[in-house]
Amino acid sequence: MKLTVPYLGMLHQAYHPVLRGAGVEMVLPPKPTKKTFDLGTKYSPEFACLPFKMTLGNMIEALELGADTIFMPGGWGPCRFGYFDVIQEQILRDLGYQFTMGSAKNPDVLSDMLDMMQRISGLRSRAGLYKLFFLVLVRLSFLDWALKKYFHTKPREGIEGEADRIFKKSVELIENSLTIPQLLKSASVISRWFIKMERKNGPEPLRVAIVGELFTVLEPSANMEIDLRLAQRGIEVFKSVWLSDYLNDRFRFNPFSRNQHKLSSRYARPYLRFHSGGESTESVGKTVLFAKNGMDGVIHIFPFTCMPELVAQTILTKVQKDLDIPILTLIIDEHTATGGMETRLEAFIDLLERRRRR
Amino acid sequence: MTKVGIPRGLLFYRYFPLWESFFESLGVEVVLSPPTTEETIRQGSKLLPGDLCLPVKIFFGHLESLKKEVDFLFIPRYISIEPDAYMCPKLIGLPDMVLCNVDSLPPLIDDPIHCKAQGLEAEKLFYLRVGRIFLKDKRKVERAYIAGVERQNRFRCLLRKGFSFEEAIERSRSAEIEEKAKDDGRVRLGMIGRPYYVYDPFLRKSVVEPVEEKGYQVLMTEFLSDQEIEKGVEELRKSIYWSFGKELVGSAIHLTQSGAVKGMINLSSFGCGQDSFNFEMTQNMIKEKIPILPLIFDEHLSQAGFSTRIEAFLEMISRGKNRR
Repeated sequence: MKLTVPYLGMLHQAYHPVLRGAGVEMVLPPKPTKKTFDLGTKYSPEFACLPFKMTLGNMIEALELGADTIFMPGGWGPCRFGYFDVIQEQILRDLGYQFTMGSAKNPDVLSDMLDMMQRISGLRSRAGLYKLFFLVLVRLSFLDWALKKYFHTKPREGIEGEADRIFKKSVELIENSLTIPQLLKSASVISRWFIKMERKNGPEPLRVAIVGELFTVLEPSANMEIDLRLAQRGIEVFKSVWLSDYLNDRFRFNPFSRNQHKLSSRYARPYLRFHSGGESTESVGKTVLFAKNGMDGVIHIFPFTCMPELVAQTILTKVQKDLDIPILTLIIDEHTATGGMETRLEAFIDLLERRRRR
Repeated sequence: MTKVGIPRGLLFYRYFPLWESFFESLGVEVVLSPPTTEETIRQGSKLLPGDLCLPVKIFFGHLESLKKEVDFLFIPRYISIEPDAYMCPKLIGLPDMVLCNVDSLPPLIDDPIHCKAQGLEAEKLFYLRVGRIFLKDKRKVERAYIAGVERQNRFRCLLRKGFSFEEAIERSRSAEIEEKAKDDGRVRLGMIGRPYYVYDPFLRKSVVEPVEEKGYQVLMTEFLSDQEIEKGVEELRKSIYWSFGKELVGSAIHLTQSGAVKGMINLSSFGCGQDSFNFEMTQNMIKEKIPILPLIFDEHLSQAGFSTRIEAFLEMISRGKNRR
């Protein structure tokens, strides 16, 4: 049994060393490139969304490398994500691949999730599996935490490139910490690194929030590293969704962190009164929250034909007027090119700078 | 008399008889917007970002003409109508999208119907809540709801018998259900599309009518009973959690397997997320049995382009190339 998991942000860094250590055979798909995407697009329905195409491409490439078990949790929400496993399995079978698709009945429920992982990982002990799952979640939240630290320090660094160096070192350190005590120790080391970093004096950097659909906000190959691009330009980046928060809302592994969905639905209430699937509530609610916290601008990013985010986009036009916050909408599909996005980003940043000077 | 406005769009094409009868029994006047024209679509597109689907744009177009004439706008929030299925995310967010994008609106009646959370009673509770806005007497409201449900059942029954949408609305007013010969000897085609595609006059003109003019009988999703649809989706590996998706895929499979149709036209809206997956499932189940013509429309649809494709498809069927 060789397990493969499609890419999503920093997820692979969280689960891969842990599962490999536990004796699960894994195939890490090659890093998603244009080729991966073309492959996914070729076999997908035309109006399937970008996450579908991207993960399908990942799966094909992994199957070519000898994987025979795929992790795709499925679901039961108004968003299309719940059908990914069914349709992708159908497409891959039509292409002639032999594999097992690991999908859970309801991935929001811990026991279903564990059942599914028991099936696809070949690990017997349920308690051991739960420990592994918990460890992966905690590692994920430390990775997200390191990235948040990076976003905070990058625009304020005194020596060019130091934040990048520290961030790279921190990710390696977290990747190599395989127990909770080790993780805690690494975290204190990392936070010392970031604290000791030299800061530059100057005006406060521009603050830009990225809101939108989970996959496009998190996966660098889908959003063309928009977050890192902004950070490189000396802009402090915030995000509306983090994978660790998203999973924490469901599995509550970190009791000290707030339920982000409830938080966003409170702020979204004047505009969007019922959750309409996907991350629509997070997009609207967090935009309101960010605007109230004095963010300079918001970038709303989502895949073409994403239903929940289209609702959010329609509603955000009103939020934009009410709270006087510039919103740049980026809709990503297989034809989105780096150059076009770069131009739009530049224009948007210009606008924000001029607004700040006023 | 209080006036309640109902835009001619989206779920109007599914629930109108129930709504009309319910409000009439309450002594409330129902005001409808005029049927869809190109002007409606133009107005709707102006209000909304480009990527939304055409039916939502049509719905917004209808609001423009309606909002000045009425005291209330009836835009219920259909979240789920079955315990284990949702509606489209755009329908769930519809009242919020209206509130955020249309100015100078009358008060909205936008209570939610959420069977997944409240059980099958949710629909009844919804109508009781709405009725109490106009009438204090709870029993009268309940009677109005029951009358509405009866009319709705008659309406669905008439549609199944093969009456057109307008005929069914008219005839469902009387308590008796007329019979109509279902099979009139014409070659039959399946037309898979949501009620707000196939019954919208604008879309009907460019897709359904050309087929009927050529002497074919069109069988739609609405012609099938719930049991038939359930039987159709039984074979799927995972049941579909969108109510409309279930109907579309289930009816396509049932029509094919019962041998009722010679070919299938699958309608979907440009950029519709659900339709893309529904069509994939439909295609996978029936593509080896009968020919399918997928048609995707948006606000720029040209009748000429559609009729060419439909003609070619019908030609193929009449020659019986795919008959085995």
